[in-house]
Amino acid sequence: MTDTVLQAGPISPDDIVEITRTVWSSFLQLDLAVVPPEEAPLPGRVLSAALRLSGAWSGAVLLQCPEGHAAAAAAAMFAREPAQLSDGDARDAVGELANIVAGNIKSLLPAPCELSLPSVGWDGLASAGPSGAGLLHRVAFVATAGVLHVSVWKG
Amino acid sequence: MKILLAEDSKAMRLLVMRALTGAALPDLAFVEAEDGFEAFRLVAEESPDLVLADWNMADVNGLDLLRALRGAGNPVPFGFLTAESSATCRAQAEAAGAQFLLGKPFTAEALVAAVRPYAGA
Repeated sequence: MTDTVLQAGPISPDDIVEITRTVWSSFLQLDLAVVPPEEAPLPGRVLSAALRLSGAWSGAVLLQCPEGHAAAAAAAMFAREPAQLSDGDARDAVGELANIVAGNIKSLLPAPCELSLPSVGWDGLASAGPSGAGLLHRVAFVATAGVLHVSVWKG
Repeated sequence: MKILLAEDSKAMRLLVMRALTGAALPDLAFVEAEDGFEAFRLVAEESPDLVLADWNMADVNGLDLLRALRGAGNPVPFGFLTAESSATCRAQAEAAGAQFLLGKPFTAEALVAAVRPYAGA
């Protein structure tokens, strides 16, 4: 159901699933279903948010959210219609969601470990992932708002 | 009750304000700050009853803000709303003088329960 490339470490795909589903249900009232990544490619424009982890464990958390899913997430968090929201609102919402997912993943890692602020942008990180890091796990979800990918990178 | 909300995400500030607005807290009012610098200034200007702060913010993070307030002799009740909820972070928050740390994601009920004790201060 997920991609695991490097040797498993302190984080499992199940951890990513539980954390992400809890965040989405708590703050967006959206249920996420896990699907194999190859069956849920990222369509069209993708808003990506990456946070670096450094310290006793170094790597990154990457959240990749297609345009429609990003708009739905922003609409839920701002309690407005998607048409009333700006690009900045979508970046803010997706960046904050990524920050929460990464913060919870950080709690599973050995201390001390520092978490960066989210780096948010359209498409730039969609294929290659954070520079200098290797893919550890990628989990794909689908919801009524569309596809979502969350990946953890090491290095 | 005046709450200063130090949070760099506007979406999260709105979500928190919506959750608390529905809780019938007395004379509820909010002051918003996007970072720790702005929050430190606004605490002095607005004298809030409670500060709710994110941990992970640019320049002056939530822990730095709390330490600066306590270093300046300000005892304003202070709670963290943060995804940084490890045992290490909780210990740092308590040592710096925080009243509570509520991990994200949280429910509206948990948020109200954490804030309500400071409504009558």
